[in-house]
Amino acid sequence: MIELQGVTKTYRKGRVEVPALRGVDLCIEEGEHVALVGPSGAGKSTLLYLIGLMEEPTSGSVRLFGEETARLTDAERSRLRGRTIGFVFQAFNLVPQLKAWQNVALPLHYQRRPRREQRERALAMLERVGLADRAEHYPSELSGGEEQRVAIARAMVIEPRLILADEPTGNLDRASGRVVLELLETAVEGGATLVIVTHDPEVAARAGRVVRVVDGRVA
Amino acid sequence: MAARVRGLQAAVALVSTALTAALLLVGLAAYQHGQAELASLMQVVGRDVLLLERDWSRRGVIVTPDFEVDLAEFARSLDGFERLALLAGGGKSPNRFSYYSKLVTPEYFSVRRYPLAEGRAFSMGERAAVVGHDHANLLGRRIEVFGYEVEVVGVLAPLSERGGPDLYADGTVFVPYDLMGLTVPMEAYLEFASEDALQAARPLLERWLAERKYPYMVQPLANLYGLELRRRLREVLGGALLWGLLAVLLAAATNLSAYSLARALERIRELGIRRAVGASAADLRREMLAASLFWAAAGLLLGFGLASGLSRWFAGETGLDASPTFLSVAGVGLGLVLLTLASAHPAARWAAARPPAEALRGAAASLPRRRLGLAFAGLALALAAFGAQLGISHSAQVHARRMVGEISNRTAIYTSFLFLGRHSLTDPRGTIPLKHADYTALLNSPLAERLERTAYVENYRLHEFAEPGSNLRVFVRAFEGPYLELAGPRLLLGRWPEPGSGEVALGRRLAEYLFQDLERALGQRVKALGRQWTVVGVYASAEQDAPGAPSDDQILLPRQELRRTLPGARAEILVERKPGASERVFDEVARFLTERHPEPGFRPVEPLVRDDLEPPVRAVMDRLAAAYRMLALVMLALAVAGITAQAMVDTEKRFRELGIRRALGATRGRLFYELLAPMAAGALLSGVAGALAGAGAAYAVVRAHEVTWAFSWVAVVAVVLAAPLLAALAAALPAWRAVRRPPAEAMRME
Repeated sequence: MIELQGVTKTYRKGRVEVPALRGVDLCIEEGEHVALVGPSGAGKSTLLYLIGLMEEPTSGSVRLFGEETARLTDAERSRLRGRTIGFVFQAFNLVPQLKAWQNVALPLHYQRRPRREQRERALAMLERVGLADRAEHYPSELSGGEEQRVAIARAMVIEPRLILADEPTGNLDRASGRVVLELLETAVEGGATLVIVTHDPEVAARAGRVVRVVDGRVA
Repeated sequence: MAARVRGLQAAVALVSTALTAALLLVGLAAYQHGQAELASLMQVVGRDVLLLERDWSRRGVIVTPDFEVDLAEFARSLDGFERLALLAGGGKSPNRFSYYSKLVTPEYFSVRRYPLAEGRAFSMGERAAVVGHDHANLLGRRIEVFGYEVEVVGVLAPLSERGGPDLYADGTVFVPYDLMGLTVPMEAYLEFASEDALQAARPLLERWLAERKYPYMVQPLANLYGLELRRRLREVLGGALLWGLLAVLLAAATNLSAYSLARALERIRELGIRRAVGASAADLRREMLAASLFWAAAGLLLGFGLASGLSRWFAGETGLDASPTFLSVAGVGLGLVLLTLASAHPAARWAAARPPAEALRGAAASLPRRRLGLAFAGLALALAAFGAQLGISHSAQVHARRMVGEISNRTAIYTSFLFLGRHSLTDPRGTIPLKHADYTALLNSPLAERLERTAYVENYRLHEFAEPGSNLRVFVRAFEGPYLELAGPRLLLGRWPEPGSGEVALGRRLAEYLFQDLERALGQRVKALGRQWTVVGVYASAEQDAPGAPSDDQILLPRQELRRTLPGARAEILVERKPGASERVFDEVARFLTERHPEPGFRPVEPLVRDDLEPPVRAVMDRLAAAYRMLALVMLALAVAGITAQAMVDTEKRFRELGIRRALGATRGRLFYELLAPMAAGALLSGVAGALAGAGAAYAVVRAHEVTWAFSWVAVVAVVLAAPLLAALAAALPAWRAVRRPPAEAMRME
């Protein structure tokens, strides 16, 4: 389902080139629950972003759902991302000007779904994550745990085949973190693939497979 | 702070967009009203009359009264011909009581669409007159025209508002064409059944005139109407408004671009989130462009209000109606949509093209630099407008000096000429023919004590030099007293003529016309007033005829050479009041001169001062400069606000860094200097760019109006120096607030 071969990624900071990934080969099967672990700066988030089509590799091949992503145009990448991949970030990344339900509905908006459908599906998803009563609230009116649950609702509203979570519990207390993990695992039970970047051994332990990233390589 | 910066940037973008909208609205509306006025004028005067006008470049060709018979016969052979009207002679004697009169056939009134307000038209052979509306009080009275007594039998409706060839109709007395016996037409009017018939007849008539060698030119009468309106439209729309509009358009585009970039920077993470949930770059671009349309709507709304006020001022200044119309509002709305889309597009494209991961991290390294660049571009534009304004004002001054000469504001001129700048053709009274005796009487009067200097000049019209097509109006000016100092001609070559030696000085244009080369003129002999003169100098002065001032196609000589006043002299007296003497002395001199001529039929002598002699070009340039001054000030204010906003953003982003520097021992003064120095340096470059662009714009405007180009160092230096000063001023407050923050507090800020 996800196949990375010889993937490198180098960032340029002024005149200096900073390698983030140095040749990654990785294969993740459909329905897997994979934890990416490793020290800070090892390249875990970069790997996650490459899988999520959020940026392009410097070299190597990323195949997603059997498709070579290098051949895709920006619009095709966006469509693929919007319809099949759900993102959950450590910093939640909700749009502050939008209400909770509008944040959840955002991927549907870009799929050009009718406004009524957007609202109905968003509200239903908020109900599933236990936030039906917070639908009309703005992110600034929610707690950290609630914000992350809204973010999970947003990731799951499209019924994704792949969920990419970048330290989803990093900014949360233990109880809220557990709720968030349970929600993500529910999605896996529904057939989705979950790739989760974490520093937390407990979170990693709940994954079906742990992939260790060190110094830009899969160890 | 962020909200304040955003507010400032939004205000700058909104004001510049509204200003653009207002100017566009005024321009479009003025054009539309102008066209409508022209169309309605054409409906009134008709498009079916051909005018045959005497061609004065073929002065030597003699026309006999047979022409009229020939013409009538030929006209009858033309398809669609309906009527023929003739006009002969006409005019006014300036130094006696006389009506401005024209000899016309009875058909003239209907062909020219001159409706009668009262009475009736005359018939040929009748001793009768029809008068323009200004002379309505003459109806039923007997008056003298060209030495013949005629009865006023009709009064025309008001016509001068039509402009063009009807400008003086209200002040004219029309008498029968044959009042003075046989004559030849100066103008003939052929009316046709339709414009198509006119167009078909025109080439036939031209061929007929050429074959018979009759010295007449042909053109549709309608072509002469609306010329003034078209000139004003061209002057105002193609001049002040167009250039001003270009300037504000650029400024608005710059400010909108700067605002769009600032917004993109603020929203970059949010845009990254949207990309993460499936928005494509095209989706984001579309959304950002759609959001920018708010500026078009807000700018149009505010601009509409501004234009309503501006159009009143504009109408007062130019006489052109410019109140917004539906079409102009729609056109401007569309224009603003295009402007905002074009301005927002670079930022939208840039932001949408960021890789989603980079956008999520909030990376936008080059954006602040771009934003600063745009702020400086705004400053450069404003300074360019400012520099252009200075350059145009300077050129206008130089040009006005060239056109009417240099008369000081302590000088007054009393003239025997009819000066249409002040006098009306409607007034039948003559201008008092001033004499040398008047001048000597003034010198011997108590008024002389309040006058610093006085001069007397006699003018003689010469026809010797006025060859066909030369366009020269050659006068000899025989002067007495310090005329050269008071009237201000500049000696270009040689010296001024000395009395008693048969010497003259020639105006530059006349010298060039007679001898091609100014140098060659010196020492040449010219014939004037029945004797030979030696050219000893060439001078430059006014290009236009104006009372008192010598112009460049004239001859100057000391009056002592003539010994006495010759026939045909028209005299002028120039006086300069003493410093501190009231301007009332000018009126007292006028009264003194008037009282010396108690005969009836003269209007009182009036003093003409410098402002009276201003040619229209000066007024136009002054208006232009005033419009630019206003625009330049607004643009400068916008640029300063833009730089202030930029400085606020910059300092805000550097709070932490400034705290660290303070912690490491930097003084407030040092940090203040470090914040201001790059602003001032960047602004200096903007100043240089602005000065160059301003000089270029001023040159283009000045040349487009065929005005003398005068390079102004003052303008260039002022613009270059103003830039760093303005930038430093704009950045000073935010910088000072930043460096005053306690280091510990600054270091805690993110």
